[in-house]
Amino acid sequence: MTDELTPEEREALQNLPRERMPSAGLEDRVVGAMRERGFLAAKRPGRVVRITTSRVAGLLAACLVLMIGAYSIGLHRGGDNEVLRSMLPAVQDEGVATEIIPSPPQSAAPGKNETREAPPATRSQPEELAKSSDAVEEDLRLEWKLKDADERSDAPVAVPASPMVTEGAVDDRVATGQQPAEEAEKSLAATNTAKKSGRSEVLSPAPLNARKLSADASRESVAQPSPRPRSFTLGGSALIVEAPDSVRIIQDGQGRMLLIYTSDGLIRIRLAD
Amino acid sequence: MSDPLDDMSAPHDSPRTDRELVEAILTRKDETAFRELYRRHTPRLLAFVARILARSDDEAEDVVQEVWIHAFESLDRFQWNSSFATWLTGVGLNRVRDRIRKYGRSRESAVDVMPDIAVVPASPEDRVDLDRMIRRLPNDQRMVLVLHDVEGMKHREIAERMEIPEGTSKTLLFNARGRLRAMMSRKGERP
Repeated sequence: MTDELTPEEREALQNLPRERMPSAGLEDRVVGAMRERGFLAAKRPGRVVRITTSRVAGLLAACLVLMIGAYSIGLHRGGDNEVLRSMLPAVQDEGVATEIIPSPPQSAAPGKNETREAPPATRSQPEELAKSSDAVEEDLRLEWKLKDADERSDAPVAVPASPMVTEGAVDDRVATGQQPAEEAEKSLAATNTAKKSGRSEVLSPAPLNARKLSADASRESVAQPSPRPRSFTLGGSALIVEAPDSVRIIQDGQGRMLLIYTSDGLIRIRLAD
Repeated sequence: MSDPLDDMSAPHDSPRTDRELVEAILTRKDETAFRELYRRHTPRLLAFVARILARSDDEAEDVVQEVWIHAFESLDRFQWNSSFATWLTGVGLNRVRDRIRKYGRSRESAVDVMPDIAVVPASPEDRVDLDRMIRRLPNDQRMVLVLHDVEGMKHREIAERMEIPEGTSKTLLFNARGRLRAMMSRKGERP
């Protein structure tokens, strides 16, 4: 009995579909039947969460959003402090006694050479000081914390905790001949300082050559009262300066000097190289 | 003799072979392994069962469910001498025959009464479709035709699976092809 398929017949039969997709529920029905007969483990209570690519992508996106949000919040609340602090030089506490140099009469109007030395606006100073932080960081070892300008402090004026005095510290006024040598500055002593809780302000050093500062910083008028006091920390201790206050860093023949204008006078701190 | 169904043993989406999946199911009752095995073989199994059974799709899926259960019940008798897909097809064939034997006797009897008359489509609007014509063949003829001309089995294997003599398998195939050609010629089309 011969009955071979023609090529067309063979091709038609070979082209019949070999697969058919089952209905959506068949798989679960079969799994359930297998489970009933003990071929598969009993179903654990709770929904089985399958890890799919879309779920992983969603989790990663959620984590990224949380990270960005947390970082933004951290920056808003005080991240700047950390950023600026990293730019500040560290101060070396040498424990040398210093004294506050009394400021000249308030009525003294700033001369043309002093104009530039007048304490800058409260809000602008941190910005000015931050300009050359990279260069200053190499030389200065002063660590400041500058309080937010919006905060207020009722703390009395205190003396900076850590003196930064080099040998032969010379008043800038002496360097420029505007003041007798006997009035040369002495290094500031770390005396009793009150540490304010949590209030600190990050300060970056003043630019080295940002201003033409007169050496006669003591003659300049005391900084106009600023509406908000400032607190600093030096080497872990706190310095709180009431308004009108301002902080400047000047460059003279002896190096750098930190000027703190207070209502009681001018505080000069020679910064070690 | 190459088994056209042997390619089903190769992993498709997973590096695990059929045997590894089966062992995972037997030893750890691993549902994940079973689902993978199910998805790998069910589409082809369903097409085969539906074509052999020639009933509704729901009934074909019921048979597929029975096939999986019986496959694992008799898995100890499978020696892995052939592919898992081939063995699964054999289980499917047995389940279909059992179901036909149980529920399909009336239809088979009507066809056997007039074996030389080609089955006419139910209505003129019916599309001439080879699959539909195969469905209209008598059960045994349909099984042999599908196993031989569609699945590529040999008469010896068909005879063994259907528990019929090899000569009967050849006769059934001859008759099936004749009917199919008659149906096609009545509609003016030949494969």
